[in-house]
Amino acid sequence: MSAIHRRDLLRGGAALGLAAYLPLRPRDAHACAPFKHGKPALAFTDTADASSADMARRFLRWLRSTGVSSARPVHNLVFNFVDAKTRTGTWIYPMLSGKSILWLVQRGLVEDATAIADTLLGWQQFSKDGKLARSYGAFPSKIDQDPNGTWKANDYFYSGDNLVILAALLALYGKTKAPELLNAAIGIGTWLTEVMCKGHKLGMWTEDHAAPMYMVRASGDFVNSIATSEEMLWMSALHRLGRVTKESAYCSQAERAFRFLLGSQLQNGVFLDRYDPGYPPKPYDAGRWKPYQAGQIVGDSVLRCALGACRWGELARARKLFDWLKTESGAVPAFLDMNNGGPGFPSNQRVYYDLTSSALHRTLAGWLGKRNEATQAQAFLRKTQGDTGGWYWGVYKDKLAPVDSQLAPIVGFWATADLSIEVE
Amino acid sequence: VSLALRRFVLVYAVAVVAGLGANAHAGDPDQPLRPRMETPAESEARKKRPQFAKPSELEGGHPAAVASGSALPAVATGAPAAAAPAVETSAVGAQASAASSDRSFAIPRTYSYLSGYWRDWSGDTLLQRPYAPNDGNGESLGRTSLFMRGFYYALNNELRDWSGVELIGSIDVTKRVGVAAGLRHELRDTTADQAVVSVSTLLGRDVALLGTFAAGNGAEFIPITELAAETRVRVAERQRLQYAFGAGVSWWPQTRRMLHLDAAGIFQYSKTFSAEYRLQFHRIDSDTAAAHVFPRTTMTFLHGVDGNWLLQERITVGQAPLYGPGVDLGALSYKLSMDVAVSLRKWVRPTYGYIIGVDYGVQEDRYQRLGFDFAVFVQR
Repeated sequence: MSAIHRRDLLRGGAALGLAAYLPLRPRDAHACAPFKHGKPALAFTDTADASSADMARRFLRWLRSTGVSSARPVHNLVFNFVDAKTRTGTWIYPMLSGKSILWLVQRGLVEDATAIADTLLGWQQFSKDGKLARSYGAFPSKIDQDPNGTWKANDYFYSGDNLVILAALLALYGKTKAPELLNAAIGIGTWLTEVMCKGHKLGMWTEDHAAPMYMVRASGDFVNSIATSEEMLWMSALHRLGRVTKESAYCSQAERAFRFLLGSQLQNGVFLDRYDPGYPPKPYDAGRWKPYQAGQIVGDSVLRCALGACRWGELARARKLFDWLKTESGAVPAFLDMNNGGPGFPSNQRVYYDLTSSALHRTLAGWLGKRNEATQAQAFLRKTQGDTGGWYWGVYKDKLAPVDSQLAPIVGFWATADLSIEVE
Repeated sequence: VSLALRRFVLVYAVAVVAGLGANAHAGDPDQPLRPRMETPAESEARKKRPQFAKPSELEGGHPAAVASGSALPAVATGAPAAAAPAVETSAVGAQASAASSDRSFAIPRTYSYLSGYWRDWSGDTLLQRPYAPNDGNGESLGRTSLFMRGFYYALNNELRDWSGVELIGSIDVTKRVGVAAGLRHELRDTTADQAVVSVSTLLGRDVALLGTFAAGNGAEFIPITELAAETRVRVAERQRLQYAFGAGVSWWPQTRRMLHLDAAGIFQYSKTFSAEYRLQFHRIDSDTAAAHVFPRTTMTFLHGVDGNWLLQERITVGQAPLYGPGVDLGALSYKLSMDVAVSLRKWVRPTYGYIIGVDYGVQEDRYQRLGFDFAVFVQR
């Protein structure tokens, strides 16, 4: 028997190593690595009491009776605002229909969620004609009635809104396994990955920023800035799509996008509003991260960013934002001073609270194990729920009087559940 | 179709009778929402919904790839805001970008300033953090990295091959102070062990100070002790341009002591290209004191996406101390030398990955070498 040579051993080892590394099994070639989704230190029920269940029950009744439309083309889709006096909704916000699906699935109300999704799917854009090809697979961000009373999709398609809808479709698909839900989700995922994240190939950026451009119009015109709020919170939905469909392109795009978005955070914990590459686009420059307005941050936007950081396990970053933010007995000013975390309103304007922000703050407190803050925010939300079960979108600091007569379904979704956890 | 039509007519008639208007709301709040009844046209539209393709299934690219268009400037549009309608505000506070200069822009180095005896001359090796949007230009939070690296270089002219392992870590202890440390074990004609600590701190908005301390076991090709400092100045108007000056002393075997002075200009273009021109003055104090000034130029190209993959190509050309056992170390003999390295850094996950690299070096009339590097890294 011949001797074993070191060279042969090395060659054999190298061949084995190469074989193990290369994607020799085609089915696994596009598979994603597992996503280690974090969990809140405190579940929603840990900071809820008996009245929280009643809050949710009343909100559900309000949603079914008032928060959704019964007009046939948009039957069951969720209004952005509902006038408290006339009980009439204004325009339809498809993103909110997505959020309602997430909320309903989490509560086990799959029948309601399916009814909403059934109508929603009909509004997905699948024309390839001309510049419409740039929104192929996306959902519009607004559906409204024209002067003749006909319901029409508006002509813009936001990346962040579509990420929410993507999360919703996947959550419902997880329960029903309905193939049309997954197909619609793939439409969104491929649009995000191949169009909105490809600004450098479309001449909108000088380099690959990885995160999606803010929006595209039906005309094919992009707004080439990169928003942080919804994108950070819901980017993990694209990763989930990759895992469900065994498509690594989605996963790697989501991971790279999230890493880019993390660059929006300042040392004091604030996440800035957007990255503006300019047009004609300029090379990357950290100075191009912008606040909402000079020195001013939007409360719910920055909280969404922090919740996104939690979902990806970046709790230290979320804690920085949490420590920076100054709440007022569970209430969060709608606009924040970038420098001190307090109210960021001009001196001639009355301070008002954004109720969604309180619910987001309670959710963030749950992730970070801040029981007192979570309980305080929940008490504030309980206090501000209307008799009908809905919430105004904002109340003035003085006497908590509503800013206007508009009720907003989005407050209820966050006030009565933790939407930041992923429903398997 | 006729069945669907009849069903639609029936349901629509019921709806009309119930007095539901175009903008009315759903019914019993204690009952689940009822699915929409489709018109025949909507049923047809449902059937025509396309089967969407995943990126790996696209043939000829996304439909958008064939459409052209223009960009709008990144300004506020008539966007639907969920629950916070825009309000009139006035400018308050400082611009956000002002915070971007808080972090030191100089990366601590764990390689000797005394290039030439070293496989990595530039100090900016494949293990160093690359320039990237979220890195090194001040706006990001601190990052912690740990590298474990092994390498093997084969030399000709009967010189002994080089091999070794290194453990290198770096951490941003505050937003203005970064620290890196390295332990290395290397085999050439003799065996070397060395520990290095380097600190980078921001003295002002555009001025950073680097300090380095190293201790070794007295192998012929590394100093027993080295102390060095360098000041980096960013030209404020054009921050892509930096200049540096520094000095250091080192103690070597054979009772040598060496003084070195450095001056350098560094140009950074975007994240893809950097060039450094460095002049070093060496003075050896041994039995025969000698002094020498030599230049060195390094160019680095970087492609890819931080956090996914980065490909780095680096070339260094200049003069370096003559390498090899038996060389009169006090004579300060310098030779034209070149070093070319290509490395790929790949993130397997956002927090870890690996690096592979090849390196070719040549010193006039002395040697050629070819080798490879492999490293794994973790980072937060």
